[in-house]
Amino acid sequence: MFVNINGGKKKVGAVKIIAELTDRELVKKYVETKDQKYFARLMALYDRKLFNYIVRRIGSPENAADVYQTVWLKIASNLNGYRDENKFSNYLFFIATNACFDHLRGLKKDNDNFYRPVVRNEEDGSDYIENISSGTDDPETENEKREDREILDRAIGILPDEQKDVILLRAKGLSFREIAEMKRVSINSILSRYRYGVDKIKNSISKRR
Amino acid sequence: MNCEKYNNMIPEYISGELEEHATTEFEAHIKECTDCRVNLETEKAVLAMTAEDGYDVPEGLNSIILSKLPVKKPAFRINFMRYAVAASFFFLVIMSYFMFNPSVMNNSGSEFTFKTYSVLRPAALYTNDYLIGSDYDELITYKTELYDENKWTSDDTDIFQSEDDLINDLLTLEELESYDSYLSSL
Repeated sequence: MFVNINGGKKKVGAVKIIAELTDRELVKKYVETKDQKYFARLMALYDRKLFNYIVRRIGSPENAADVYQTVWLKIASNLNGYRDENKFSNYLFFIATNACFDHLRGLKKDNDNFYRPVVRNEEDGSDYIENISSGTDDPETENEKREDREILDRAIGILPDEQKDVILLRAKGLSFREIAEMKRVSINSILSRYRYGVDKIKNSISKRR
Repeated sequence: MNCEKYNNMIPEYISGELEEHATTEFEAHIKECTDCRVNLETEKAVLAMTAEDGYDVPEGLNSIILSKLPVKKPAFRINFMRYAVAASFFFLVIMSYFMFNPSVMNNSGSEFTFKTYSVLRPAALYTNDYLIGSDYDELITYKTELYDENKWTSDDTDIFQSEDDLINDLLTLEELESYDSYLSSL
């Protein structure tokens, strides 16, 4: 007969499971060990947010995959330079903003399809439709939601880059102060860009409806 | 009512960055002002819609990215402590061999000279311990005689450079036997 020498008590782990690690701990662990599981966890936490930010920022789900990939690979190779006092999400979106800017500048240079609306009409194909996650709502509600999203995407798509940036970063949870620090401008400039942008979106939505 | 002022507060109110006294003032205003309340709700709705993550990350894309991540090369780590201990041990073994075996190392004055030929003469290993406590003068005399009379059988006659050499040097077993018979004949 076996005797449990710990009196049947399990040792409460001093080792945290990966899901309990904070962003900073994950970054630290990845930098130290280069173990992909830590990076995969970071990706799992932010992949959807990042991908959606990129889609809206560059206005193209197809090209978003390339930019998305570039962002993560840049993050992976530059994590040594990540300063602990910043939130990882801020660092991620800082890299993403720059990657989107580089991508759009490249398109502008080529003078090829500088602005491609996210939503394409039926003659253009159905890629966009396939990329939208399927919701649990009934088809009618789902259609309404899709229409709203199309209107919003169009409205965001025509905003000047500065306003678009602030609105999208704010939508991803960054505070105005954090955006101001990232953009190295005053908080008042950021607020002003945001207000102008949101007003334009509101106008676009009210016109379309 | 100054609605423009309160409308400007909406973004910071939503993000929670409005100062406490301004928050109290703003909340008191929107209770009274329907237009500002509608504006607040509209702005919240726009932000919520913008924040909505309606696009799925293409399937397999994350795996592709993970496969492209830099892999940590197995570092060529030298465990200095381990090597240092091994080297010290090796050094001690070698040194003790020389130190406790004067047949290999000859201390003449401050200089150490190695006489490797001694290592090649196993019989000679017998001799030094045997001679300790003997009458060195007699031994010297005997060896000198042997040398003078060309009775010395070793080819390495050049080893007799000094008295120290003579004492510390080794004799073959035959030479010892010869010395024993010499001593007993006295």
